Amino acid sequence: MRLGVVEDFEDFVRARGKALLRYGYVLTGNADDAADLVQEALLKLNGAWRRVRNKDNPESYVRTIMARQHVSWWRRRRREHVTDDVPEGSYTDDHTFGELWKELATLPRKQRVVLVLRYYEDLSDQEISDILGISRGTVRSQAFHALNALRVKPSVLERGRT
Amino acid sequence: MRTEEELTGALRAAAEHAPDESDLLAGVETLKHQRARRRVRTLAAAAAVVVVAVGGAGLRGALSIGGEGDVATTTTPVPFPEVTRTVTLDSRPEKAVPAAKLWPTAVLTVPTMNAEGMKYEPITGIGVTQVLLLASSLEGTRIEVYDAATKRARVVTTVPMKPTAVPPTVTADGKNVAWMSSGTKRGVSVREIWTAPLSGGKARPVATISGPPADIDALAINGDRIVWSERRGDVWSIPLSGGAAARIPTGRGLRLLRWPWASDAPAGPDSSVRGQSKVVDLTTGSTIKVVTRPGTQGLRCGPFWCFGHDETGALVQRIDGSNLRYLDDRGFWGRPAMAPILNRFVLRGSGIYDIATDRAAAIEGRWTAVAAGHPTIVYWEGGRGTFRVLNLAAVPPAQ
Repeated sequence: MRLGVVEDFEDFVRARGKALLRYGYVLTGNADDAADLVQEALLKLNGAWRRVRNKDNPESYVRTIMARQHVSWWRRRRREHVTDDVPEGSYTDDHTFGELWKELATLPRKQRVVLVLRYYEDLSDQEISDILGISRGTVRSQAFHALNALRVKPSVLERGRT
Repeated sequence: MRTEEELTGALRAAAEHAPDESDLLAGVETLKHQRARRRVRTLAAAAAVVVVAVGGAGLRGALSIGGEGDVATTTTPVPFPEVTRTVTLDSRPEKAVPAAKLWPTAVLTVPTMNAEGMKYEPITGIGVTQVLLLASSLEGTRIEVYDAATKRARVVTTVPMKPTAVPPTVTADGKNVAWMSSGTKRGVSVREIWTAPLSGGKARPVATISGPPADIDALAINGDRIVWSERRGDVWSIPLSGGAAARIPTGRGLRLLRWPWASDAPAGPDSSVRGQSKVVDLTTGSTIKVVTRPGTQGLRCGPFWCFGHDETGALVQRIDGSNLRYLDDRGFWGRPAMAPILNRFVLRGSGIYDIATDRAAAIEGRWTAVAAGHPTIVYWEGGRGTFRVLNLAAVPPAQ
C-alpha cells in the first residue's frame, strides 16, 4: 500500500517537475533557489501526499506552498542580511531575458510573488489573496508598487483585476 | 513605461531558462534525511540558548533644526553621533493638518481632462498657479500648461508618437520641456529624447539611444543641456540644440538626482531596500559620504537629508547620520524609497512631512500619486473631475 503511494508521488514529480521548476525559477530568479524551493515544497507534499491526492489538487497545493515559502524564506533571510542589496554586477549579466527580468530581482520578494501570481500564473487578486493569506487590498498595493518600480503601466488602474 | 504584456512575456521567456528537473526526486530524498538530522541538532541547541539583550532604545528629546545654506557643509562624516534627537510624529497626530490648510498657496485644483476629453496627468509645477500636464487620448498626446488662476489651458507642444505607445517621461525647467519616448526596434530597446520650448512650439528630436544604454531612469534639463542617467549607472548629457551625447566623467556608475547631484542608488521612487553610500556633485566631483546606522534600509539622500526606515519605522536623518527623526512605526511595505523631495519633503502613508518646519500635511484622497521622474508635485483625487495638485516647490520657505 505505502509503496503504491510513493510511486504515485514520484509519477507526479516526473510529470510536473519541469513545470514546477519553471514556476520556481520565475519566483526566485535563479536556478539554485528554484531547485531548493521546489524540493522543499515537494518534501511537504510528500508528507501530505495521501490527503492531498484524495482531497485536493497536488499541483495547486505545491504551488501554494512554493509561493508562501518563498515569501517566508525572504523574511528570514532579510533579517540575516540587514542590507539586502542588489548584488553587484546584476546589470552586467547577459541580456538574454531582458531588462525587465533583471529589474524583477530588485523588487522585495513579496511584491515579486504577487507579480508572478498575477502575470505568470494569471490568477485574480482574490486568488492571490487566498494563496498568500493577505488581504486583497494588500495584493493590490503590492502589485501597484511593484509595477510602479518596474515602470509597467497597469491596464486597469491600481484597483487591480477583479 | 512598459505594458503588462511585456511583463508576462519577460516572465514566460525567463521560465524557459529554468534548471533541469532530473535531480528533483533525489533532492527531496536528501532533504528528508537532512531534516531528520536537523531535528536532533535543534533539540540539542535549545538547551543552550543564550538570550542577547539588544540595547539602543531611541533617545527621545527636544528637536532642534539647524538652518542650512545652499551648499552641503558636511564632507567629513561623523559616524553615529552620540546624541540623537528623535521625534516620534505619530505620538502627535494633531500635527497633521490638511495640505490645503497648511500650504494654501501650494495646492491647486486641476481638471482630470481637457475640453477635448484628453486625460490629464500632472507632471510638474510651473510658477505659482500653473501646472504642466501630459494630455492623452487615442487621438494623440500633448503637453499642456494649465493655469489654476485663470482656469485655462494652453498647448505647449504635440508629442509625436503612436497613441497606443507608452506615455513619455517628461521634465521641464522654466524655459523648455524635454521628454523621452520609449519603444523597441527589432527586439532592442530604443529611447528618443525630444524637446520643445515651454512657451509653445514644435517638438524637436535631440537624441536616439538604443540597446542597453537606453534603459534610462532619470531625465532632467539643466539650462542648455539635457541630462539623464542609465539605470545601471552613468550620467550623460547632450546640448538641447542636439549634437553628441557625452558621459559626465564625475557621474560614472551613478544615477541622476536633481542637478547637480547624483547617487549610487536608484533615483527612486522605487520599492527596493537598497541603500545609498554617497551623494556626488556632478559639477565638481566632490562626494559626500552617507552615514548609515546599522539596521537602516532603503536610505536615500539628497545633499542634506536622507529618508529610509529601520525596524522602528520610517526615519529621516542628516546625511552625516545626525538628527535622526522617526516619522512613524509602519513597516517597509508599500513605502517608496526616495531622497527627500527638494531636500525637504518626504512622503508618509497619510501625507507629506516637511523636514524644514517639522510639520506634517495630511492628504485626504482615496489615492495619492507622485509625478514621474524627479517629482516636485504630489496629487490626489479632488472633487468631481478634478485633481488636487500640491506643488512642493511653491511651499513657502521655513522661517
